[in-house]
Amino acid sequence: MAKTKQQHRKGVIPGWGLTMGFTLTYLSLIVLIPLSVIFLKASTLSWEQFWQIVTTDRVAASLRLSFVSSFIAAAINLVFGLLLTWVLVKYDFPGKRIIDGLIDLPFALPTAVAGISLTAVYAPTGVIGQYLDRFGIEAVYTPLGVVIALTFIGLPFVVRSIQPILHDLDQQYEEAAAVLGANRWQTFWKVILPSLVPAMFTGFSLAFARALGEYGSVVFISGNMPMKTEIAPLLIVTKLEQYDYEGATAIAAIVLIISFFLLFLINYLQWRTSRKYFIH
Amino acid sequence: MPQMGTKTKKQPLVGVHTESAWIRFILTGTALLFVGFFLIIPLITVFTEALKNGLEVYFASVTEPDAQSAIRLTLLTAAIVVPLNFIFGIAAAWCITKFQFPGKTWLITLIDLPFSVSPVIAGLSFVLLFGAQGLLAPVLDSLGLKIIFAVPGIILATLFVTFPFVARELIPVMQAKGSEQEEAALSLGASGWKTFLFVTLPNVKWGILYGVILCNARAMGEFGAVSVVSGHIRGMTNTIPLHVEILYNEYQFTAAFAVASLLAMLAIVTLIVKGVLEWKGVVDGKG
Amino acid sequence: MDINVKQISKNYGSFQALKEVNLTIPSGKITALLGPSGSGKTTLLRMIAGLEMPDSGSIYFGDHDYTTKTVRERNVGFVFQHYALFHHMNVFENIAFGLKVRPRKDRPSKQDVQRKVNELLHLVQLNGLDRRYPAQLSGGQRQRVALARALAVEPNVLLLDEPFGALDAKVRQELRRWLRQLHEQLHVTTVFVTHDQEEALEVADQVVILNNGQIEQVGTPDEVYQHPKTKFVYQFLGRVNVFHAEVNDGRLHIGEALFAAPDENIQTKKMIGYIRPHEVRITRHNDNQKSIQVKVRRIQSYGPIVRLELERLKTNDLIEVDLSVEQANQLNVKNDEILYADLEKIKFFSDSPSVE
Repeated sequence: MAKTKQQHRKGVIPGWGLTMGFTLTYLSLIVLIPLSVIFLKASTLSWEQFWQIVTTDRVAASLRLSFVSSFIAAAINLVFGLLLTWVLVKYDFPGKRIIDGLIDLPFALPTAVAGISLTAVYAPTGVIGQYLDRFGIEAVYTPLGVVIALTFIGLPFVVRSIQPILHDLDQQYEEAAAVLGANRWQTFWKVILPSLVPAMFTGFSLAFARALGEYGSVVFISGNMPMKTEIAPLLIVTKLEQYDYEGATAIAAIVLIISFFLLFLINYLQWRTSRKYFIH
Repeated sequence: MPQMGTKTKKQPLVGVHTESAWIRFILTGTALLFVGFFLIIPLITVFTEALKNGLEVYFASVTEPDAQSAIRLTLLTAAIVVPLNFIFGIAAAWCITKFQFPGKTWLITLIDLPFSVSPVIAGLSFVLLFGAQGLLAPVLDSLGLKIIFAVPGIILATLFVTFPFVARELIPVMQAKGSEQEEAALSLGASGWKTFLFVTLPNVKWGILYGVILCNARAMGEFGAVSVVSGHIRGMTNTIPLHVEILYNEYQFTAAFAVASLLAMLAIVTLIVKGVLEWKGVVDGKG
Repeated sequence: MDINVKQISKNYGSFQALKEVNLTIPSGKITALLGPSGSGKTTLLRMIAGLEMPDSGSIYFGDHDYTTKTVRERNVGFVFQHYALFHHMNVFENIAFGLKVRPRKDRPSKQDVQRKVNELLHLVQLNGLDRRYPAQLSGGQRQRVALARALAVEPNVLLLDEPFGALDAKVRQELRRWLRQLHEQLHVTTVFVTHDQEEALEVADQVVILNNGQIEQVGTPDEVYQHPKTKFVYQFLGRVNVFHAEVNDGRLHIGEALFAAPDENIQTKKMIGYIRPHEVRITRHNDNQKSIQVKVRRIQSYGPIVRLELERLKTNDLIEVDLSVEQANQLNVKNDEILYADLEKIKFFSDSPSVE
């Protein structure tokens, strides 16, 4: 450390010690110490205990539901988010700026508000739910409801990941493909889409990670029936309310590890693709 | 630079830059339907449900004492959390953008960490630390302090979930501006503090505003983390989102939506400010 | 295949990018479109490629009207200014792209693609680099991959947009010479856009000088340089001395020097004259009434030429004159010496403000 400190002193900008000190202290107090307590607590469990907790039917069902519905929601967002981004970047239509701004609604709208509103909309009496009901599709209080809520909260991650890349993708690439005889579909499939893959992956992973931990918007629409529509974060809350701290911690540890793994994977892949393909 | 001007005005050419009108129409229609089903209709529904029984009921719902105390607690929380995270954001952005040090990318990753942690888990970690059976329970007991199921817990949980907002918006803005202006000010004899106040701050004020409004929206709207640590004590530890939940679970749907509409309005204002800032080009459009 | 551009116009909003342009691009030759930025040269190139559509006018490839043909139907090779190499494809895949996207019935077999790409790699001297990604190549190598990719489709015409613009000076020199050699092997009709006059004069068989969406002059490099037809070409190409002349008694006066007035000129009182530094003759005696008195301000040697900076005695205007080393030695010019500058080769234009 002494050596690095020496290097900074070469610069004229002051405040290194103060800002770095404050940043690290605050980061530790608010984020690192509390999070490490989860792992500390989890480490007091033996493997058998841990395994037993996470393989009980109810816990396993909730984890399965969380993973599967998060994955489906992220996949829906990948497809429609890509379509939406394409339309927003490439076409002009009235109200485009408003739609573009609305994409961030799930970031800005509190999850509880989203939860009760989606429930009202997709209930059999709701604006959309009544049409689903006609086809015998139940959305509210079913896994489909969970997917709807998770799709809502994940959409901006996909759009905002792809948008800047698609926007900055020089028209020259499309022109180059067209000059070489590619039709529009070939240009999209062989030239544009591969350039978007890293961003799409990032968007998908962010949406998936967010969906995995989501609580507020899901609890209202899912109905929270054990074994059926109970997601992992809800089960953590339930265990807490029953003072089952071990159970809550074990589930939390699994969800956390997967979130961190995704975070690591995103960073790694971005680093790798930027090294391989991009001209700096 | 006439060429720059003409480039933006060039008409897209079907087959080279764009698709036939038919395909454009279908794609745009599908995308708008998706936005309608998932964003527009739910947003409008908040207000239609809130006003279903007339304005009188609406105002009664948002002015009754429990709602009022929830609003007060939410405002108090935001008033503490936003300035703290604002100061942190500036300190973090300063040391990350003005200095070179090993482990910088790691530090940035750690600052972003709360975004990838479930709010429920954030709440859980504070319960494990400060709760009745938590690690620090003996210390807190001897001091007579109560954090979980009390206002401090709500503030801590909110600090956690809104932690990265200001820093994350500020770092790219400050990175783009570089350090030359600060170096110039310092070489002219300005103190470090004055340099920050009169050179750095005016340069990044829009970036800061952007981070602050996002931080504020999340601070006022946080549900999961706060829910775990609050204990849902009416009139005491209820924030607006928690109050919405209570009303909803008591089947007071109109009242729930009325209170929720306050948060929806906050969200709309946030989006408008965000849109204006992006449109002015002072911050980039990345989420 | 020669290309004929007929009465092409193009507007972007109120900006007129091209105004009724007519041009013939000869088959098998290299043509340079030269002009300042905003002159319409890139628009013209993109229009030939089919990347822009003209508002009016037509474009013929040989005898066929190609005006409404799409870019895919035109079969042109286009090298973009920043190459537009596909980052996620390696060199091989980039070059093969144009062959692989053909409709199934016209698509060459895998072996044929492989053979063709290898030929091209050999041609552009990039053997062995076929598995590299664009990010792993130097600027000059990227340029050559872009060229190979454009040539792979055996284009009717090769179009290059500022082909050397993004390269540093040394690589530029090499690539220019190499492009010329390559052209001598292939004889494909080639059009390139540049704002660099040296590049245009060195590489092209035919130079087209554009300004404000109109063609100022078309000719061989020698023609456009030695015999500029317009004031713009005089000023844009090479260095030039400018003189203002007054019309009096049917003769043109530049200070004490007298010139015959061009016959078409009757009304205007003023004309403007251009003469290149190497066209000025330096003498010690005023022997033909077409000289002005000057004082030597500075003498500078640039390799084979000696540049004199002269001050015109009556007006204090500065004049540049280039002499060969031999001429300079013969004259033995000294600083502050008074000499005569003979402007016999000056060319006059009416002094209308239309062209800057």
